[in-house]
Amino acid sequence: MSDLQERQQQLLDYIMGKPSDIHEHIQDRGKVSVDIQLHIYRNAYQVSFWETLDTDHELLGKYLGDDMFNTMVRDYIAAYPSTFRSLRDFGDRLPKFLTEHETFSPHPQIAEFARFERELLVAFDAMDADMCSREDLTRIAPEQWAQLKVEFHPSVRAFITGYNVVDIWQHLKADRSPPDAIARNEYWVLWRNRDRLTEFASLDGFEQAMYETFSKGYNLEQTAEFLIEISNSDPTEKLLTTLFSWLDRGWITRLHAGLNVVS
Amino acid sequence: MSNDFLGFGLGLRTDHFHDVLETKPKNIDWFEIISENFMVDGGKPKYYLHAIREHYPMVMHGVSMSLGSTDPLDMDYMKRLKQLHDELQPEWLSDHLCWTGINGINTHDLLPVPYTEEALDLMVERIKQAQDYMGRQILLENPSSYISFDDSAIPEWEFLGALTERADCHILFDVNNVYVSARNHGFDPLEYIKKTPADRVKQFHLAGHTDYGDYIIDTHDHDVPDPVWELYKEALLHFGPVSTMIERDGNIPPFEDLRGELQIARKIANETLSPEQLTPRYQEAV
Repeated sequence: MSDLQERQQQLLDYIMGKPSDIHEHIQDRGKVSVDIQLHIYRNAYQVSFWETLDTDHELLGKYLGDDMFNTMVRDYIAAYPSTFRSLRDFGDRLPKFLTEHETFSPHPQIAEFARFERELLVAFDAMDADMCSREDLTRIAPEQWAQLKVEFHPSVRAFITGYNVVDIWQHLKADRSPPDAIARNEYWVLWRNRDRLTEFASLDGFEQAMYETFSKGYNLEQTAEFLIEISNSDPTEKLLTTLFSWLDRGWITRLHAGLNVVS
Repeated sequence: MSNDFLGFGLGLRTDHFHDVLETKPKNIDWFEIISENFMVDGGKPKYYLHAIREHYPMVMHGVSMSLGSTDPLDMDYMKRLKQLHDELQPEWLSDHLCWTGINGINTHDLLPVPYTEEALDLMVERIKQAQDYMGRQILLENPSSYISFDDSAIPEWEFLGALTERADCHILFDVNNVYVSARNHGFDPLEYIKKTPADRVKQFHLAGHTDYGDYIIDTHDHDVPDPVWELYKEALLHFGPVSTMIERDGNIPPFEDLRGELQIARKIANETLSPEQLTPRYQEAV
């Protein structure tokens, strides 16, 4: 190990709160002790990550309260030091950490809550792409509709959870007392709308099946067949209404019908 | 000789996106962005970035190249940086005389380098590598620091001068950082200015800090204080017309207030240099 490598390792160890010999290699300036000089760096390390998680997970902070949030941040920094170049990504492993931590893992809705907030962030700065409209759909000849496939906007993503965390999140967002956590299977879709704002909506069984079938690359005819099986009725009207609502929301970036592609 | 003087700019912050596009002020000549904040695929920040870029020259300022680190250069980061650079076509791009981590860990802080021959050799090679990859010269910013290593044998200004000469890069001269480090380490900031090679300096940073009496921390959360304005005047006298901008990262005031603060920089420059020297490149072209 070179002198420079050794010095950098010593300083990094100190900053991360590990045993370190860095004190021996710092000039004593008299009026400010070496401890204080070094502590500026250790403190900045903690503060920058705390601020990042506080910004990205403001409502999780509200849900946990200050003490629990501070415990979470301190232990997360220690367990998952940043290997990213952008602080934007620092919290990516927070949901996983929350499933592992002895204080938080007995309350699985906390990890789910954090995962929901991460998904909102992903939707917020997902890749830009065109958004199709109802008019685009009507430009496709009716005889081609059976072969219609949809390509979702890059910001569109499903959030499947076993807890009522979205309800809790919405209460906190509105400054209301959150409901108790309840184990409940929910299916949400998150997306970035035409004004570049993040939105989310709950999907019922029909829309969920339709979303998953289209997501897997099946066409309209195949999707309709599947929906007949699960709903035991003619799904055409509801299928079209739902498709129009997706187009209005900006969920669809391309409509493929045979060789005809509308975007 | 090409004119690199862009005039007087501000750091572009999300708080001001809307104000910039609404008002498109003529008394701001250019903007600097933090590169890492826009290394995302899309969405609102990128929309505003490109919309504002249509109206103003921009420069890119990075905080993660970690040129002083003993780790290999992170080529995944460099690739993303180049993508953004190619998208934005900035006037130039800069990073710091610092390291941010080793062994794959990133502290996201600008950590000081011991000013030794070993560090100098390492940084020269890494800057050359970065410039080769980016296909252009970069600017290197002098750091603010709170510790000095025992084995630092070279004054910072000599290290910076030697580094920029050997690597053939430019300097982003942070006036506030010189003031902060001078107070923290007890050197003369005027000596720093006088011994920095003027032909390498292409941009100034101005900012505020937090003064704890015995030491100062470079927080960018206050207005530019008088001693930094005084040092800015000295820097103008020594370096001549240099593109100047104010950095504000905390306690961010209304856009109008920052515009007002920038006019102080313009006024000091007007009082210090001649009108011919202070004609920005884009006004010349017009």
